[in-house]
Amino acid sequence: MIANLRTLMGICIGLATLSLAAGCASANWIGTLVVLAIGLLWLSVLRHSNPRVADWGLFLLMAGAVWGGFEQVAWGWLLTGVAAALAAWDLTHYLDHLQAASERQAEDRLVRRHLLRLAGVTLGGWMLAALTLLVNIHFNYIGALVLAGAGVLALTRTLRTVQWDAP
Amino acid sequence: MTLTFTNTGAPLADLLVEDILPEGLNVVEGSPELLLSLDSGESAEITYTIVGRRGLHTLPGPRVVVSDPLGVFRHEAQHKLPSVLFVLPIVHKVPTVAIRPRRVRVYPGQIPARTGGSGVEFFGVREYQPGDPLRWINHRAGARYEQTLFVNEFEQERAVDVGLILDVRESTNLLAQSGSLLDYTIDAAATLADAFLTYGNRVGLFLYGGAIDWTYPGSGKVQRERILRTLARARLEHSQVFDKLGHLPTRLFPVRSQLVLISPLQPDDRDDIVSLRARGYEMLLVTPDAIAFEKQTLAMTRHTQLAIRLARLERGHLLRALGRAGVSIFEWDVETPFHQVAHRALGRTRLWSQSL
Repeated sequence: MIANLRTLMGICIGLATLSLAAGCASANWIGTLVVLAIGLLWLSVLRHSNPRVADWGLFLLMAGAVWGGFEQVAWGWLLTGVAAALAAWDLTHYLDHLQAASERQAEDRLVRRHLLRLAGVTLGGWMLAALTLLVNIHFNYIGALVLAGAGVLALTRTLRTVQWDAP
Repeated sequence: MTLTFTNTGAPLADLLVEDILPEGLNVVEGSPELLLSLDSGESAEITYTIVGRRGLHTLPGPRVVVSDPLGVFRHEAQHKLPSVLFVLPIVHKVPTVAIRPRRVRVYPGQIPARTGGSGVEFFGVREYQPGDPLRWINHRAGARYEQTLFVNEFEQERAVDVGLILDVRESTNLLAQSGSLLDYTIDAAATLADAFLTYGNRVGLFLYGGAIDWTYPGSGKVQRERILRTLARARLEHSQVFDKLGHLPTRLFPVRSQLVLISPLQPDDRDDIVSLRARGYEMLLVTPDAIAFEKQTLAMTRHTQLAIRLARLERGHLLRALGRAGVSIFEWDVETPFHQVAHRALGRTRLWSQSL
């Protein structure tokens, strides 16, 4: 199962790199090369599954996506790249967590649950981000304030619920 | 070790349970840690095998790490479920230990009681009395006198009181990289206690060196367990009061009973041991060869060899003096396990001469 997780991590890194590189290709070929270099570097140290490498990989690809945003790269590429990079980062940390435990019970179920959760969060996040990018809503200053307040409140409540649910 | 736990709350997608082990215990099989997902009402168990140093180990309780359903937060808790684990000294079987105290108990045992009656060993002849078994009649003795019959008497065998005194004084127990002499004397004490208890004797144990640590005399398996537990937690002690053997509380031991002193000895102890003997106690001194033990840790130079020679002379003189006072002495080199040497030597009565 750990080997499968590693393959999945590689796929996610590849997807993130290719997606960002493809997006950047339309704007600046140097950016494409940089993104490809970062992706290849991350892939080259994949077998070590070092969380610190994953932190740096995610940070650099995120920076690439931000730069792509300034360069008016199509948001679909950027969003997909960022989501895939996040998934790769999460998988690296999860793999580290799994390997840290000297014994695991029902490893398949454990990993399957995590992957389902990750898939849900990634797809949900991707769709939510896509929705916010596609839909244009016009509202006044007060409306923006109310909406921001409601957003903060909802986020706080969600986090608290998650914290309290955990034993 | 088996640790079973049940999830009585919400399902846990990611749960890490680790049974914390104190220093001195090592896992040899299995793992004290388990990562799993546990649904409501589900149970799981951790099974592992440990080996540990002799002693009393307190297991603090398991550490549990759980994450929330989204994996955002992690909660860690240390459950206070302290449990105590005794790692008892290894007991080896010694067939018999030759002791012969003057005071015996009323219960049958293995120690010759210096009294005629039913037994195995011939003790003497007395005049026939009605009720004596006919097969006891000594016809040869009866043939010498007219109208008189004689019967053989056999030496009764009874259980006795044995007081084991284990010397835990820091000043007498040498320390080396491989451990201290105390580890060897504890093994000897465990083996001797088991040997005495096996034959129905009443055995008490006194740890001499720190506070008064007295395991009240008793017999049987429960007493064996008590003694082994006391030995398990025995460690080197330093006390100005108990620095000399003279402060041994002799009132704890019945007069004329058997005392077994297990000690590496120091020169000052001679008078105190002789004094115990003078009070009527039968003394058996079991002493590890402290010089041979210390010799292993020293570089062999001309001066060291001379020092060893002098130490040997001094120790030999001490043991001879004790032997002359009627103390039975059993000295062994800790290179050889106690039970192997004791197996052939402790069955004899006069021990001191063979050790010198």
